[in-house]
Amino acid sequence: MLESNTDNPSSEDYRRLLAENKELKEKYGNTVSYLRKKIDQLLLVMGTLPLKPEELDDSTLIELDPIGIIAGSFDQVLKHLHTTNDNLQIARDEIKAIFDSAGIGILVLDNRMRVVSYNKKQRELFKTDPEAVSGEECYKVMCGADDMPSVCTFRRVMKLKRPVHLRNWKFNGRLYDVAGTPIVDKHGEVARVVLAYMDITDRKRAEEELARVNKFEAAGIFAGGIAHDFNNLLTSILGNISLAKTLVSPKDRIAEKLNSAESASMKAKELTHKLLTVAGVTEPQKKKISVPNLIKDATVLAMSFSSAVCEYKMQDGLWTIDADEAQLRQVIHNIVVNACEAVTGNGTIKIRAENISVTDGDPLSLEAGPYVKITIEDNGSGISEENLPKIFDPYFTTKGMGSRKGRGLGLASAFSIIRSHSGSMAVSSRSGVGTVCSIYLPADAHSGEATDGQTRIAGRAIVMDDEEIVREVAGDMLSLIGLDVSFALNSDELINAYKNAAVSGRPFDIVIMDVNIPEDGGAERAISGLLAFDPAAKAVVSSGNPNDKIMVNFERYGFAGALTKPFKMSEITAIMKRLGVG
Amino acid sequence: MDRDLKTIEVDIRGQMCPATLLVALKNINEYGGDIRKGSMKLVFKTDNRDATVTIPDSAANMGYAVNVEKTDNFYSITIGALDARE
Repeated sequence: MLESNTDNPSSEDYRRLLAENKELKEKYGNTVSYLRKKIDQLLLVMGTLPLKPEELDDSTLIELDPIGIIAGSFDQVLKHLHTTNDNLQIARDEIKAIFDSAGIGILVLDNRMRVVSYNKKQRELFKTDPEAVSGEECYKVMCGADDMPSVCTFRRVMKLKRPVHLRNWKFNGRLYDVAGTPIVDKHGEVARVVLAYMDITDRKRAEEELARVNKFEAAGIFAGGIAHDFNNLLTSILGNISLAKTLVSPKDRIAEKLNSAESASMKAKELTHKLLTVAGVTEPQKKKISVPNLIKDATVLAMSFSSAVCEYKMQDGLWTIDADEAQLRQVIHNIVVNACEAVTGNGTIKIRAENISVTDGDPLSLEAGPYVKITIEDNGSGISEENLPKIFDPYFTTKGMGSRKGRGLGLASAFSIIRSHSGSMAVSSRSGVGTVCSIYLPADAHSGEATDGQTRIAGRAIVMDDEEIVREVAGDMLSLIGLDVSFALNSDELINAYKNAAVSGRPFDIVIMDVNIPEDGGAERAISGLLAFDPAAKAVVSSGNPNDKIMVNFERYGFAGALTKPFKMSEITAIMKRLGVG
Repeated sequence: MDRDLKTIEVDIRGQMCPATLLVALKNINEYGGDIRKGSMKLVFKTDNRDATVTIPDSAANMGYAVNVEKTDNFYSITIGALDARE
């Protein structure tokens, strides 16, 4: 340190300079200290430690320019943040697009069950104004309730803290699968719950339809298996009853008992045919039918024991349909009987028939074209929501068993018949309000009619059947109406007998043959051999299954007629007359 | 694929934090453009453990891919482009 030469003016200056120097040093010290403080602040923001004075001396600190470096780094951090924000915005837009275009309803709730967001599809599900649901509790806007319901997906997600599924949730008359997924925060707590509502109503219906078809197929295998034997037994029973009736006076009490037995046997025959119909084994024997007459005939019969009133409303100029009259009569009968049983006291059954045109994309899966729609409506007890999906199931009934009660085949066979006519059938019902049953049948623009009759006949007949019981009864019945009857067990026997008879000058006027002779080729082989010898031969094919392909298309195979077993005398007489035998 | 990249190695062994960080940041600022393009990478060699946290954190905030490897007696901190990350 310099000391004073007091009177020297330069010493004065020197002192002043010293003072200024000290002041400047202090200022520099303060500035560096300020810089270190600010640099430490910035370093802390960068997530690192403060600078230690021994690590960088003051001049190196200024030379290194930490503020410049950190400013440059901040610039990069900001640019990166902007890029990240832009990418986030794109990701948000992507999620929003997926969110809104999803075919399922999506609802996002906070952990207090309040609506945070929802997609477009979800708007359709709110019970309250969709514009005012944000922030409201889910149970208010979805369930329309004042409190959380007992079955609640949100509640389960909150409790289990994992995704949960609620299947077959009934809501607004439709069925949903609900998936609930938690969104967990970094502390492991549920922050959001995402609920996805998938409408499975249509899928469920399709599955039920498929299950129904499968049931029909199973019933078909069962029914087809027993039909042949059952019908042969019935042929014998009915035939013998017919024969026995000819042996007693119609006034005799025995005849009365025989009539009862015949009537019961005919019911057994109808039951077999119903089973075959349910099974879809039967092909409809179609002809042009006038719908109003058929409806009225079938309805009058079905309502014989009912006090209900029937109102008809048939459209003028109703198209005719190409259908199996007996089967369709059964359909109308079954539905009207159900309606009669549903209404009590002075119930009303309204039956309408109208022409409709179905276009492509019809919800009932009908092909485009003209249809006759038959609607049978009652104001009866209706069908419960629980039972409605089962009404077309074979053997489903709510009527209990026993005489005049249901066997559960009415609507099942009706459904099967309508399907085999390329039509459709739909039933809607409300418990306590009534039921509406709609039938759609492909329509035609033209119509036609047919007739029937019976008399006594003379001539020669030959019966081919491998079942003795059938040969016996058929022989007796044909004899009884005046025919001279011979028998054949198979195709060879039949053709030989036919040829011999022709050569001997006493030809057969009519041939009746079973459709199926095991290990022989059956009716198909027999008719071709027969027609090869005599193209004018008159042959009738016979089977217990009226829907056998040869029975339905008998003319195509060269037959003159078809006779369904078990047959009655009047049926044999009618066919003989039609074919001009005798 | 990384093998063909131009690599600049910066040896900051013997330096303490935060000086190591400031040196690292200065280099990242200088070569940032080329690193982002994916045409080069920076490798810092350090024996300071704090730096294995401060440098990667800062570089990640700036939008770089960072990889830390321990070799015999130092750490290698590699700074590359984000898209080039495995």
